[in-house]
Amino acid sequence: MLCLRYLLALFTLFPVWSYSVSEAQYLQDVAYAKDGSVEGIIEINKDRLTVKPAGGEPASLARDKVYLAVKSDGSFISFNNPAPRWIENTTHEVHKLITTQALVYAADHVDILGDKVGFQEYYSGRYVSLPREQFVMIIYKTGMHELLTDPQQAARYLANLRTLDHFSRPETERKVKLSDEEQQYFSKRALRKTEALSFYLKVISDKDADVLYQDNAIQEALKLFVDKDKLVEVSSLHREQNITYKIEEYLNNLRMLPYQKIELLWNQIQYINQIKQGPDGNYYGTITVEQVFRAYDKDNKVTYEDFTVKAIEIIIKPFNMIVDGDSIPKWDVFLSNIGVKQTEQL
Amino acid sequence: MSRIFCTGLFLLFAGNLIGQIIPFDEEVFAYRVKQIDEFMERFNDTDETLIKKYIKERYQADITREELIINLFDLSRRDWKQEVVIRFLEDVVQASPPPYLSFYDADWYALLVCEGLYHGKRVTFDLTLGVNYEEETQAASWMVKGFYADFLDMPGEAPTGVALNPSSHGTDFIELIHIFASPEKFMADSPPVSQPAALSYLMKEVAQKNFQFKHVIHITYHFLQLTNWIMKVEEFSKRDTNAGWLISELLPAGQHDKEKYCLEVLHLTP
Repeated sequence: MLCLRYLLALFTLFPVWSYSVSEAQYLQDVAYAKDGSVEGIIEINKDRLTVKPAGGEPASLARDKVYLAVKSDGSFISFNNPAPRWIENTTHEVHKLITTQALVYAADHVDILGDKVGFQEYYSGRYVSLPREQFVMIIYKTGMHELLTDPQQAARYLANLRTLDHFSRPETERKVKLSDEEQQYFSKRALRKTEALSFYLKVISDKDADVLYQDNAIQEALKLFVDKDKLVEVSSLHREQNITYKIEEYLNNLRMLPYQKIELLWNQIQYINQIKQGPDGNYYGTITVEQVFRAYDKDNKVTYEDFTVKAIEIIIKPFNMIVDGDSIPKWDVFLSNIGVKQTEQL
Repeated sequence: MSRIFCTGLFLLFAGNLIGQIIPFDEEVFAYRVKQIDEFMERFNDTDETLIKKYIKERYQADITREELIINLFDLSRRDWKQEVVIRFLEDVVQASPPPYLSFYDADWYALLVCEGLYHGKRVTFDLTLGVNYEEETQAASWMVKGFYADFLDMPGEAPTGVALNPSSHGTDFIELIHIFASPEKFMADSPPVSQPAALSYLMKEVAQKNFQFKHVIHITYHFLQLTNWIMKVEEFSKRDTNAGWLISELLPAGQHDKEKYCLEVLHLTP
């Protein structure tokens, strides 16, 4: 039960495969025709296209009245092509962003932010933000798709695409400063990791938790940090001086706290400064957050509580991810030193 | 909305009347100047700074640069000289072009009062850090620029290439613990020095286990890049709306005064 809770929390905290879901995404096959779109199972005959909706009457459309058809797995056919053929979507490891230039970008994460499409490029891990008008269609990992232009234009652009298996790399100028979108993206990632850390801290300090489960939580918590040498400052209302521990030592000490369980509450509003590039090529920032810490005894009574303002350093750096035996460089946010700015009674 | 900031102006000369606030008060969090970066954002009247967004969302109001700067003063100090503050505001707000602060400026410094154990005895020393910015790569780091330790009988020149990441100030330079634990890892190629330098000597004492860094006791930031002014900024840790990194001193200063300040306060050798 505990394990299930743990997995659920992990999923909630790290929705790695998350993407924006809008009303324009389809779970079924879709035929985009001159008279509108029709959903169902698509079959193509010589001159006509039949769409069988679940539980409904099949619709028969003349091929020359249809711009484009997209299957529920992301495969599509453009009738703007003089010799139309299905472009199969055979791989589902990445989201595919198809451009007006008939290029396919592979992405881990996609956000449509107004007139911009932001995505984490799969191969470099860099967060890229490009004008929405440069894109025709997104095929998500699930096979669902989303058109970013009208179907007639989409069919025209998609007619030039020969395969969904060849990925291009977006050409962006070499930037050493993060764009506002990148800053936002990495800030969000950093906050998620902070939330994940507080989840692990609860597990580690929970006297009812299994030791192996706590060990696992320590290992997972350590993975959030850039390295084990990073420092955590610890304050208490009972002493004037803060104490600084290396992260691993801090996590292990948590188990020894004389509390039955702890509770960590975070203020919903945080501040993150402008992320800056260091001489080593990595990017650095600091998040300021407010936290309430409560410790309970066996009778579920609060035995200690305080309010702290914390400063959490973050590092955005490349790391190598092994995919199918290949090492792929990616960028991600890691937690670094954690300082205490202020500690007060509640 | 302006009323809130007019109240700030009143408090600047009348003292702070704001009391205790309950935990997780969003307003208190929004108003607190949480990092020195945020101090600069507000001074520069940056559109994206949190307080402007907060006030816009909460009160559907805009605030002026003047109002923002007034609230960057420590309002609990009662002896601000009105004519000096007003002249400063005029110099900043009415100048054309108006002056702005940048993290990448050369003429601002963090002055750290640190504590250590030297031959088993508790000692304090000053470290002055400044931002090094490489135009070509746009990379920045905090570097030690000045050093003063009265327990060492040698000049305070700081020739070492000790560098900290550009966001180290967010955690009050906690990383210094690592630097003093193994300085060789953090020292770039040091330029040759003509005389014994105290910080280099201290680093050697670390290796000999004669010196142990304990912690940073206090930090002040000193902005010297504004024409005719020196601003001293320090952190006020209290839970009210005038808190965080605030101007604690404002000095009218010409070039000569600034050179003297660098030498005497910041331990920077010309």
